[in-house]
Amino acid sequence: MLPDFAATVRALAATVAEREKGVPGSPEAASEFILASFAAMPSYLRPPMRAATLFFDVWSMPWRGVPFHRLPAARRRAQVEAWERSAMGPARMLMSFYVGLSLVSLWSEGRRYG
Amino acid sequence: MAEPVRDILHADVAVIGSGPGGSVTATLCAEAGFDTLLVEEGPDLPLDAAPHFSGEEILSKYRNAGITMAFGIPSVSYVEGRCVGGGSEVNRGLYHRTPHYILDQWARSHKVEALTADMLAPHFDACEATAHVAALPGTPPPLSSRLGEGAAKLGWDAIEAPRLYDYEAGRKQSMSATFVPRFRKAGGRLIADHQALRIRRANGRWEVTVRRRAPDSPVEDRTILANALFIACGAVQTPTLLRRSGLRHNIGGSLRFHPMLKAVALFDAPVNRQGDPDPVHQIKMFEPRFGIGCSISSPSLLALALSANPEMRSLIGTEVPRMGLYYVQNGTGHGRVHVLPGRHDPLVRVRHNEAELDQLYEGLKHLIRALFAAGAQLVQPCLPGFAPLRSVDEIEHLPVHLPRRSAMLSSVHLFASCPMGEDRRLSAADSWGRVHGGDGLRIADASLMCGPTVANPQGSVMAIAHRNALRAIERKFK
Repeated sequence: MLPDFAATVRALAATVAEREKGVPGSPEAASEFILASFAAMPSYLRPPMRAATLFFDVWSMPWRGVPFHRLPAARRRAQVEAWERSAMGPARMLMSFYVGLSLVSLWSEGRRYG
Repeated sequence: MAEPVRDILHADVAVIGSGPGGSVTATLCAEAGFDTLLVEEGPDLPLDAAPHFSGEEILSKYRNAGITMAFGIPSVSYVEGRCVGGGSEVNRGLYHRTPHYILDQWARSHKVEALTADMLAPHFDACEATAHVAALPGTPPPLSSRLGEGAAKLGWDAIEAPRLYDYEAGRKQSMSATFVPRFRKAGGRLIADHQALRIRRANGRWEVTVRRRAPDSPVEDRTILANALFIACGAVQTPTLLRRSGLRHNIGGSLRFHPMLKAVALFDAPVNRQGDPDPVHQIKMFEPRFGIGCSISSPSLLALALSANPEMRSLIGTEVPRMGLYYVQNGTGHGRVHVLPGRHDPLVRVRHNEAELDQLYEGLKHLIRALFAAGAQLVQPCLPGFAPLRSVDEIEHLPVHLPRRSAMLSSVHLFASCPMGEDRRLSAADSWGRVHGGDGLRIADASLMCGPTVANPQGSVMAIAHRNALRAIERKFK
């Protein structure tokens, strides 16, 4: 089973959506927003971010036999939260990147607030 | 893949970048009768093309979809506009003239000539007449007033900042709504979706290589030939273009920011109502050590600010009307713009002065005090690992210093990467924006500032561009 960048992004967005309460946005829209943002980010950042994302995807394979994007929801959430608490700065930063973008999209609803 | 098409465009004056500095400069040149070409890397979109601060706006009008970072300890996440009108399209339009003590400081530090508050006043007047600067009529929204009330209870002064806003029409103002139409009316030509790759002086004229990148269109390279050239691509892209073109003297090594820390307050009553005007209260009495203000508090921006604070974030679904987002900012962070071979996007690095970071953190504690004084029941500093505070006494339990490695600063103001002045040891351009040794090449954006403006910088950028453009026209661009 191969790592899959787009599938990992979709699974990350779905995981964030599942643990947030009352979000008006959809995980599908969030993953599209993340993928569009990724395509626009500085070119020198894309390769390391893609590599880190794929590494995150395969992280579960030695223990679970499947990549992150194939894990059941509870296992996905556990992996995201383990990486958010990681002692490794790059692991926390990767989660911060995806969680932050997911939240922007999931909480967008087109209403104006002051 | 189709072969890129090469085309040549001629102009008396070319202005690269259509943000506040570029739009003002191009307008004055066109109105003075010069055939003026204004070149913008991003798309030409109406001000209302996307809801303000929405994901759609981020993708269509922000450089790199807002994913731009100055790497350091801590790093500074910053945003820039990349569309006709530049940063003026995506900011809140809070407006201040340059504080006089900042102009005095620049005169001393960089030997900037003829840039006193009195000398700059007519240029502010002229820009404000077109750009529609106005105070909020009537009562400010409660999210804003609460900050003012908290300040008053502590004996601090708060002000209501004017904005670039047409309150009669209920519409934010920007370059695309003000100076760009004036530029077009004067006969100026604007080309969007054209990125300047390189400039050079050849046969007594400026040659600019630009690349057209528009959705669903083939990539085209074009050449612009102009007698006079202004670079106004912003504080990161201007030094990038100049360094890529071989100009390096004091270019890109002194980038400054207004980094922010944020806090979210949960108040005792609703303060955050749909359709309210943007908040305008600011506490400026502690500047230049730090300044305090209100942020847009939409659910998505609250969630982003609280991305590392799940406990407070969990309240957004039910309590957003009682929640407000606030910031403290100062001038910490000394950046450098690096051009990477073969890459369009520059690498930006930042280092911090410990004392300035401590001042910013002290400002966060002041902000928290003001929010509790304003009736907050809970205040969450937007920093990883920080728990929500339930009373002002809990400030004493916060870490003594800002955690350098986990803190993430953000900024929407960048400047000073190519400072002006007569002291050539420090400056990249003279007091009027002419690049030292640049054969008449001029800079017309926030890069020229000699340091942080402390106040919101758009007014300073417009007024200094206005001053410098009139001088360039008077001197026939020599």
